[in-house]
Amino acid sequence: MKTETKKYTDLTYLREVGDGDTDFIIDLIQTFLSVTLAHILELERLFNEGDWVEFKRMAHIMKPNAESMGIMELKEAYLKIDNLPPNDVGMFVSQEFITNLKQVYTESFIELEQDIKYL
Amino acid sequence: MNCIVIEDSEVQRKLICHYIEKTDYLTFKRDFVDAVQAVSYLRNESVDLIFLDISMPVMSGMEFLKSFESDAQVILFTSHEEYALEAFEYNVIDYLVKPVSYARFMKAVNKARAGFEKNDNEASDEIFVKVNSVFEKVNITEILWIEALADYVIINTDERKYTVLSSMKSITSKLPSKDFMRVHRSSIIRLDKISKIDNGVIEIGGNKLIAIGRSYKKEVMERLVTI
Repeated sequence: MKTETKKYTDLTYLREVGDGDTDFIIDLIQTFLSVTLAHILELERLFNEGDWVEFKRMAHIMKPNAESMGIMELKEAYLKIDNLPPNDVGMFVSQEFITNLKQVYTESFIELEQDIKYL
Repeated sequence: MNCIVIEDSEVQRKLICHYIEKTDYLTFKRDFVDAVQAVSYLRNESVDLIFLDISMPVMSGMEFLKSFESDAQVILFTSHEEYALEAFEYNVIDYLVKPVSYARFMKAVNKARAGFEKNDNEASDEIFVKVNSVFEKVNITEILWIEALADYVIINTDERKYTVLSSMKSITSKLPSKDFMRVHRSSIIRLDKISKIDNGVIEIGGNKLIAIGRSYKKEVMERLVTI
């Protein structure tokens, strides 16, 4: 559960990369916001179909993007999936995992939209 | 060094393009969301460095490396270390784990730059060109400019012209990049032969005028030492 002080995102990496270029940081966040929803839906579809090879591939694509936004909770999850053989992914990923993943993304989106206003 | 980026993730692509723009000796040419588009581009254009993602739909980075012959150096983006060993068979000089820090990016780029400059320094002052059925020696320092004419290139020196069955891409790869530069789709010039540039037109060898292509303008100005 999210506490009052807990933040899912951390823009340290983006700030370092952006090197004071606020427009670039905002552009990257907006790009992340615009592409990630489709990624989540695709990941959920692959989960429902039990297509673990493609699920792994999709998670692999989503990992660096989540990491770029400092969403470390997802980075760890994706890293575990990355290191599992496809046949074992189904044992690691449950409906609860997907629900939690969507929750983390939802909270992260809200935080990032707020961050854009104050950058 | 001219470079392209092949990466399907828009976020990661923007990051790398940003790094390239921050780096003085890299010139960003184009980015591609898949390797198939890049293959088509590279049939007509020569680049020095390719930033290549391994995990892509349609054609993976490894399939791209296996199918396409290029002199360009390659820096891979991957977290799959199992590809690393195989990748080094294909002119791959380094591989980076996403998301990439600028410091790590620079380490890889510096390796590429060292290789690039070594190739330039080792280049001979002479090349042999096939004119009709005869191989003729041309001193590279005497070349003023090269122009494309259909399936041929015309090499212009002070003394004479050599008409050679070749492509601009092929001839570019044989010339030292520190001395020569493509300034138009159909023109390569020797930098130290430029006498002046006026309104997007280069004067070379005292009387020859060559227009700078729109997409080459920025790079031309960056390569000239101006006050």
